[in-house]
Amino acid sequence: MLLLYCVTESVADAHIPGVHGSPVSTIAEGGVLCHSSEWSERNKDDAQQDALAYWSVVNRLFQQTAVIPFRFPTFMKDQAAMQEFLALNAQGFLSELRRLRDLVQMRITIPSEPTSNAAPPTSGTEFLKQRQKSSRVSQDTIAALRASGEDLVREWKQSHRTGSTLLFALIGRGALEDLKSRISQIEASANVRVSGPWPPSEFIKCELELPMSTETTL
Amino acid sequence: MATPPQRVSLGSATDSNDEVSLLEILDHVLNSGVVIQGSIVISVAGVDLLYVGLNVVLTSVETALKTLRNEEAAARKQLR
Repeated sequence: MLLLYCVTESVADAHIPGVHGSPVSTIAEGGVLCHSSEWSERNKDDAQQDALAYWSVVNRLFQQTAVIPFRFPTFMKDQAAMQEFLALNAQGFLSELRRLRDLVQMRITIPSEPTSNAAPPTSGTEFLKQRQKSSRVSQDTIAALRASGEDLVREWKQSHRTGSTLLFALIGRGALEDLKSRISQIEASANVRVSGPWPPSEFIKCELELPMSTETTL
Repeated sequence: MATPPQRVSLGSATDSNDEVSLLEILDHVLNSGVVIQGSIVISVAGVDLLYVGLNVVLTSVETALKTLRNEEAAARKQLR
């Protein structure tokens, strides 16, 4: 069975160790390369370590070229199945790789709950007021962040996690430092965290086709 | 060329910088990226056990394998 990492248009690095040290190999089809390594049931010691090893491969490729990562873990039965899958989807991948070629994703985490420094509420009303205030601060911060990068960011996306809001900015590689500098000047963002550049996973628009039935043996 | 993701902390730094970074990486690889929709037949030792949506398997390696083992054990129990 194969563990899939990502799809790229081209890559220079040929010898990358994958999850559990299995060498990463590539299959070419329709102008794209799909990177994968062998996976067997015995490779199940530590899911967290596996996820980090997976990220290490994707990140190494991302440093060299545009990537479309698969969500970890994604499997294919064998190389023939992957070739068939790629043949069906190569054009879609290629189109997205070209659209996102020089673009990366920045991730901004904005807390949406009262800070731990706030005094614990003594009543229900006070609790609701704290939540309301926190939500207002969070919304103001998001608005300020969006305004600060208005002329740099190609596209914004927003999603929610427990206790925080995530803001994703799709931006050209060349404009990264400028955006970071502007964000750092926003006073209201005392608890904001910025990380990146990441592969632009949140902005990939792929409608994938899958062969009618894929049999996978674990 | 892109550089590896680095964290830029604004305002007060926390004591759990490394943990935050690790969580961000795990969150990124487990919650984003291309998802292949579809169905698969999972078989162990040549015996088909489950016909499940592929997304179930994508959730987590450990969870998927644990579910598989539990199903297998349950199936064995029923056969006794």
